[in-house]
Amino acid sequence: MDSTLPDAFEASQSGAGLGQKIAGFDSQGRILSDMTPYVKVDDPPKFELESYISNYTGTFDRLYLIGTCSTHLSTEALKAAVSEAKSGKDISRYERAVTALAQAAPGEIEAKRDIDWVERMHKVVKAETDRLEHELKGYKNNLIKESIRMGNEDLGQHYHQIGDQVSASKAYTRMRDYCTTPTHIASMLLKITNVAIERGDWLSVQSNVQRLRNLQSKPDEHTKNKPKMSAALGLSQLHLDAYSDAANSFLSTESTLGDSYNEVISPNDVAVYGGLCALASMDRNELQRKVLDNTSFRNFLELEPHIRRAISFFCNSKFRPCLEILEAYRADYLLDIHLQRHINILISRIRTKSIQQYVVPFNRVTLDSMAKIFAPAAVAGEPLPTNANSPFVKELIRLIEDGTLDGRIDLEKMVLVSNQIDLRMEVQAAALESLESYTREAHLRLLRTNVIRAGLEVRPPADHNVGAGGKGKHARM
Amino acid sequence: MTEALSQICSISSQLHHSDEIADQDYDIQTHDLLTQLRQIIPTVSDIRSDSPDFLDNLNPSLHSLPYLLIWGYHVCSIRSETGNPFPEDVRPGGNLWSKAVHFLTGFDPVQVRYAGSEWRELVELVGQSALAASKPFLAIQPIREAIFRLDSSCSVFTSTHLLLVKLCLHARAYKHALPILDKPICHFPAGPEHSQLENQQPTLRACHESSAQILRKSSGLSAKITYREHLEYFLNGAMIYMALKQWKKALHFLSIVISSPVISSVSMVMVEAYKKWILASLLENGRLTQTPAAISSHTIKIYRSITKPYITLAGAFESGDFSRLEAEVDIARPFWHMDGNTGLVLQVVNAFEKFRYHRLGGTFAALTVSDAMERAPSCSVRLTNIEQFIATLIMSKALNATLSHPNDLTKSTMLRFSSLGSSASVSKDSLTQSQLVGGGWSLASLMTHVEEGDYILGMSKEYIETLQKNQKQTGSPLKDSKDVGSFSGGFDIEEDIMGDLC
Repeated sequence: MDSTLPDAFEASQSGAGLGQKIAGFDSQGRILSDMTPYVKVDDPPKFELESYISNYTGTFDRLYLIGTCSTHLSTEALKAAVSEAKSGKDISRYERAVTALAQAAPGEIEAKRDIDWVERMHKVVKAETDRLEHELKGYKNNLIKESIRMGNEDLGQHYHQIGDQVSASKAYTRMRDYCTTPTHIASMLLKITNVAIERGDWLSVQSNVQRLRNLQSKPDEHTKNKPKMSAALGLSQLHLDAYSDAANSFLSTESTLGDSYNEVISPNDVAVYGGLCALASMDRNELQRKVLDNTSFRNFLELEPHIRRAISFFCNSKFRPCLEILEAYRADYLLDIHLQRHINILISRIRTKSIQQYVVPFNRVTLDSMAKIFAPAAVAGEPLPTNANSPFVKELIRLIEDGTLDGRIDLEKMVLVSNQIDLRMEVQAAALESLESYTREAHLRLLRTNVIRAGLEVRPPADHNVGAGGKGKHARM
Repeated sequence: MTEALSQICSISSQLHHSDEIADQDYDIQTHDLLTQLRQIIPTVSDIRSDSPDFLDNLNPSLHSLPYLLIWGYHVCSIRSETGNPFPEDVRPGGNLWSKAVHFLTGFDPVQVRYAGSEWRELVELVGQSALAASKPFLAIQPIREAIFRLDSSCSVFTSTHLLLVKLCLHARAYKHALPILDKPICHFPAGPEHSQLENQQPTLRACHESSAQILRKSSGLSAKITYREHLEYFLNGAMIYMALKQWKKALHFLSIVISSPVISSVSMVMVEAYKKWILASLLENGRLTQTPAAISSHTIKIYRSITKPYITLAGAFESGDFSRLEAEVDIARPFWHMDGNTGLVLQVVNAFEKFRYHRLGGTFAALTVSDAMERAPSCSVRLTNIEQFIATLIMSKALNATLSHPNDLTKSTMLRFSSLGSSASVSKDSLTQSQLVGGGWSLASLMTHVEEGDYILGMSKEYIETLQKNQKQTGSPLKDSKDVGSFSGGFDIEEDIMGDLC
């Protein structure tokens, strides 16, 4: 996966990430890329926008993403995004939403920019910033630690609200020196983590989660923060393409998470992310043991029963239904703020794994029977699934070439033949090869020692024409 | 004449009943003989007046020293008469030439150790006069035999080796160099200052066990060797292997050249070798292999900066894009020509096709020829008839596959690759076995040389253990402080030597 920048992720401007677009940073540290989203989802999603979005607090980024990516929900989502932005203080957000809505549905009333609101908000924000800065200065003069901490916290919160994430995270970081109890530190670290998640700075998320984990805090508080830590860590690993680690992090998230982390992730998300990452990175035994038999994760899985079904289908080697479920939900996941960049890779990995698992018991298997499972519907205009030029056969060829599948295709009999390896021959060949390379290396080293001993190292020429005369070309071939 | 002859014979024949004589005495006697001979020869009128036919009366295997000295005297006198460095008599077919060849095929290896420089002059004169007469082939056989006669293990590099290889290249008699090239070189003539055993002053006759001790710098059996000679030898050897399409051995020789230790600058010979190494690596493996670990990164950087066209060519080869490969070959044509590598580059282009079909065999068990062509598109006009080309590959055993014509003529011919395991057979099995045994032998013989090196360098087990202990104490543990095994079995020792010197 071509995630070029560690923090190449910006929720509301979903252009980042896929496709190595040239990105720049705006004054707020967000990553700017061209405003057109890279995915257009034409299929209607399975969820209801309202009930979906009510799972979260701070819904703007999700709404904006759905609005710009989905053709079905675009107007509805963008309208909600505009009103959401208007209820906050972030002007740039509002402007982005309005621009997007004006493109999608120019006729709507909300598509017109509310200049009064913008100007008023500018003033309000400015006044608030000045006030908070001023207060903080006052606290600093008085040298009262607790006041300084709170001043910084307020300032950070304010910056967060107006969308200046860099300043927000700076303000939160400044709190560190004035924290007196582990509780304060924990709340500070959580805030920094949240800002980092919003910025898409996943390395910072990881380091802060690590700090939070090493913190000596009260046991009850620790248990309260633990699920949050796991979820945040999982998210960052997902975005850094470490799917196996992400799966383990999500799987270890405790069900006490509930709705407590709604600004970042809902329990449904944990189920989906964890389930998909596990499917893509674990083998069948592991899936059974770590996912299906995992009592604490079962609570999450119950929220998303189709993921559970997909995993159990995979474990029972029923690949067709498993892949069908994933295909059916692909549209939903493409509209998910965190999954959008990864869902295609995840699904293709699951598919590759299914193919690998499918051919294991066979000595030779017809392409026909494989196509029934992995390429059932021949797309109009494309060659039959078993034709040499069909996408399915091409996929198989690619898998064989990169070594994922150990077999060869017989285009005469239309079968996939697994490679029979003569172990005796192989061992002999390996022994011979290692013997030869060892002898060569030993000879090379021995010569080197003796060259040095005899003083025959290549020396800089004493006179200038030595180097030029050194060409040894006697026979031209 | 008879008088002189009997005089000389009587002096030298003392040596031939010498089996009972102790080494020390033999040494002294031979030295005496040499001084006497040097005095006598110019004064004996028979030798002077007589033509070289005088030599016919001497048996070179018994009277090597007199034969050698008299021959040298004749050459000297003819040279001073004619003023020609390669007088007619010395050239192939000449009288002295045949005498020299006769000598080279029958001299006594122990005696000539005492007259090393004279021996070398004779060998060189034979080689050079053959070259001067443009008949290099004539000199190959006698010189090769002389090398073996002098040192049957052939493990010490001498200037004669280089001479022989050059002669073979000039004569295009590549196969004739193989007996020498296939013997691994392990030593170089060391100067006396390097030998700790110098004070023991081994007698020249006695030290049979190590040819390295006979062939020291002072012996005169080899001309003074600089780094350029040994690099040229290996480069030329590699070129012979390449001419015979033995890419693996060529690669090894080239690796020796490019991994040769350097002090600061790199020799042009090494750069030449690196260019050829890239091409040979593509030809043998179908990709660029890892350079030997002994090369410093600095040296590699120098290589890479000088050999850009070759590296881009290798990149194009590995990318699997035929048109790109052809474009690279076309663009850099002047470079190939200038370096004398055009032939190799053309072979690389051919090998590209071969490796592509080879790879196809890893993906498919069977496919039609037209499918194969689609998947390995060959843009070259030469290959209009792809079926024929594949047939050639199969016949040359580059491809383990069969072609079958269908009954229905409208259909394309089917190309079926043999399955990977089926090639196992008794004959192949025994072949592998014998290869393993052969490899074991060559490794064992190499090991004796390694042990020898250890002994000379004073690398005993105890020394290395102390070294490890000292290093541990100073706080820098050895990177891999493996258990230093026994002398014969453990190669760890050998690795440690290198670790010290590199």
